[in-house]
Amino acid sequence: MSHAAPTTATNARASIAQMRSLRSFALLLPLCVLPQDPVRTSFAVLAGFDWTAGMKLPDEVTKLDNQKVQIGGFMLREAPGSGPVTQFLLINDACGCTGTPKMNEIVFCAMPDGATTDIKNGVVQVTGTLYVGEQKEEDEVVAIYVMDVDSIQ
Amino acid sequence: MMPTAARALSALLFVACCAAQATTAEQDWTKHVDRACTSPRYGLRLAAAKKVGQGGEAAMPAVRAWEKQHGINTLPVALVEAIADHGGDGEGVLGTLQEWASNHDFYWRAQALRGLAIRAQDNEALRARFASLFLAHVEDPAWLMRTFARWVVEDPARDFDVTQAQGQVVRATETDPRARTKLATLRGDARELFSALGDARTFLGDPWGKRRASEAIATLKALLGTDGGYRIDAPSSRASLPEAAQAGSLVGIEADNAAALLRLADAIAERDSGGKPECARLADPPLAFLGGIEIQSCKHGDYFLHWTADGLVRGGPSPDCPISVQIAPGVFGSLLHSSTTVTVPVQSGVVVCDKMRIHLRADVEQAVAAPAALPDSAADWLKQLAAAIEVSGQQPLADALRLRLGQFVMPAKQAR
Repeated sequence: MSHAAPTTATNARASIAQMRSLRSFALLLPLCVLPQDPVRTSFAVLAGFDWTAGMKLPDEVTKLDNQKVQIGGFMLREAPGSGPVTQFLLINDACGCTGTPKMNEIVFCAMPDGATTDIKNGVVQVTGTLYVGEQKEEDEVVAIYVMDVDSIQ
Repeated sequence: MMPTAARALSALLFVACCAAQATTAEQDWTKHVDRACTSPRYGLRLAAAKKVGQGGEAAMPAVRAWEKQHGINTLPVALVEAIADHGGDGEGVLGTLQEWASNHDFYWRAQALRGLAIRAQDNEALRARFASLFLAHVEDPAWLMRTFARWVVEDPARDFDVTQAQGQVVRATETDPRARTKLATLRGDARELFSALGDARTFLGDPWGKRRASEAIATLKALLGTDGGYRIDAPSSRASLPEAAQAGSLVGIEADNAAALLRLADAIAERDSGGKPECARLADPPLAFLGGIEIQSCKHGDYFLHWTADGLVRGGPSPDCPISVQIAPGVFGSLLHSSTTVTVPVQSGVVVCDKMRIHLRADVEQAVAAPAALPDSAADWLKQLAAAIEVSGQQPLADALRLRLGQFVMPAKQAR
């Protein structure tokens, strides 16, 4: 899912959103016909390998691309602050004290257009469509897992 | 021969060129440090931090300038880790890591100490140079600090001359399960790692036991070349390993990790030429906990406390909550009743590292408070709880709660 590096983060976000929209649209028809139960997955699967930029991702995770999944974890702001957010990181560890989450230990979650959420404390279950693959901005990998969020419990 | 004026001009141009290059390089590092600290995109912060770390000595002036201008706790953990991992052995890097590791108020001091511990593993001179620093932190309340200190000081493969550095020191055995596993990961201690594989314990819904098992199996896989088919998400082994082995029948329970545990035990026994290691299932006690608090502090160490409806309180510095106390049901009932008047916003203050997670009652959402941001009503209630714990005979647990509350109480409250 890598694509050309946009010049600004804003452009990158727009292009990611556009790409997701197109892919979501492509999935809409079968979704309309067949309701999809989320696949339960976990960070044990998503983070179960040593990631290096440019590597071929394991089949275990690529098979989750474009799938409706449910995953448990902790919500984290992408940057320190307060108040509701439109995007957040889902991580496996409540405290960054044990180190920086690696790229494959993070699901970058985007709320539906116009929706926001508070950062909830404790473990949450997030359901949505997962996109798997390196995403780049300014030649740097900025995400491997991106999710369009349907619900947070 | 080049005329003198031309040589002088040439020399001037050379100096100017070098100065310009130095300035450009300096500006670049400043830009990378700035991005590592402030980019709104996590991935870009991470990439910039790595670049700065790889810059080593050359990048350090920009890092220190940022620290001086914005304060040490604006440095992100990723930047400190990158310097620890990739910064090299230059004096600027070593001195900075030493200074950071020695700074009790720095959130990421453990990551800095880790950088020195990595360097000290194969370097006698650095081990000697930082001996007093490592020794000073083997009993640190922050478990990561003492883990990295112990990694160097208690390395069974090397003779760390404790007596020479600080006199005879008698240290307690590490009891925090997280620290034991981390230390085993650093040391490649397969038996200790194996013992973590049955851990399924939780605290306030946080599956810390599974996380511990996950760290253990990742290291075991690297050590043994196999994970034996162990799956972190599989149901935990239904019996301790010896029981499972004695039962002699693992057929039909492949979904369970018992079979994988047996394969791993065999692999470890073969590798070590010893007996089979043991792994017991570690699950939460069959108690319904109504609420609790969790303090995670890179500065002061962690603190956990949770309670049942009938006043059984368990807590301590590690998430297995090794200390228990029973508060008289009448006293605890009154406390619970008064908790209904306590309102805690979902987030109080801006959390960077240290934080308190609060779940006062089952019917309210979990909340989190940054240092010096805990609402007065919650602080008062927790002080009442500390008093009840003390009266019930667990003064150390009560004292620890009071002490740790101090970091989170609002400054105006502290002054009163």
